[in-house]
Amino acid sequence: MNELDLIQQLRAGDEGAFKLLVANYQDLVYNTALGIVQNSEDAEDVAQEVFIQVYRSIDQFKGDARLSTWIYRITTTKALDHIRSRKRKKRFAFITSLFGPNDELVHEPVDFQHPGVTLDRKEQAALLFRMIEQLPENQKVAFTLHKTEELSYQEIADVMQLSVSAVESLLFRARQNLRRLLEKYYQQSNPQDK
Amino acid sequence: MSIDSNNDSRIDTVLNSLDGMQRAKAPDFLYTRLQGRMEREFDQGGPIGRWLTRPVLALTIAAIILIANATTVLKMWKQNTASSNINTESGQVVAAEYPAGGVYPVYNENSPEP
Repeated sequence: MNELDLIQQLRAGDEGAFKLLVANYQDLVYNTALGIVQNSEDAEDVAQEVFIQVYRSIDQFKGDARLSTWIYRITTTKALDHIRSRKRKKRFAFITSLFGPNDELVHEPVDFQHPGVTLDRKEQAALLFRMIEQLPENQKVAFTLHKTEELSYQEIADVMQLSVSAVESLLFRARQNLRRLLEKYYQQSNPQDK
Repeated sequence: MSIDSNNDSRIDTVLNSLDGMQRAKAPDFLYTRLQGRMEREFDQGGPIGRWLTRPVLALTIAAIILIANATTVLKMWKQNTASSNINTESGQVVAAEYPAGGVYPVYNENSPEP
């Protein structure tokens, strides 16, 4: 079934078409979400939200971009929303803890290990993901799409609705910021290096 | 090798650590769990329905109702206190006009006829 037929059947409310859509795009959605939220349970949660959104708003898909581009766009938006909501909950838990003992524990996540990274690079990749978390949202999205999904500059530009030069600039700044963060990290972990 | 170049090399290794990584596979039975969630969400009337049934919202509405009730009761109590004061005052006026001794200034039966 080609993309156009799939979209038409989805618009008609065909359950089989929806199942096929999930089967075709679940890894793309999950991996993108995982790269941004850096937690497997949250990534599954985001993936479910993405497919529900696709199901609800397939009529609004105009077809001027590829279906995958549209799905990437929904995924990155939902993943960023998820991170914002997580930060809000953390702040709220902190405030309530000021007024007395708080039974609801807010777990500080341990270093995120992406399952697709080779064993010999696990440690470095975990450190890089920790630094990626500190990037501004648009740099984080561009860098994650480039590294974890291996999207080209043009594809990232389509997903983020930016020009290619804007994406180049975003990725350049992301690398600069990551380099700065890593320099600071190594200086703090080895103060005698100064 | 200097310390700076050593750090640069470590940083480059970290920055390139995601190169050639494999795509993570979605967990098994994602579609089954998705179906369950969709059924639950659509039964509840979607995000608006879920928002309306949130405990925070329910507690807020309950608190607003309680505050409104308390304010009304307080206002009513104040009004009652004020009106009971007025009643006491008017009672005193009546008592002054009609003293307990039974001698009314309006009709004095012992006064001589003109």
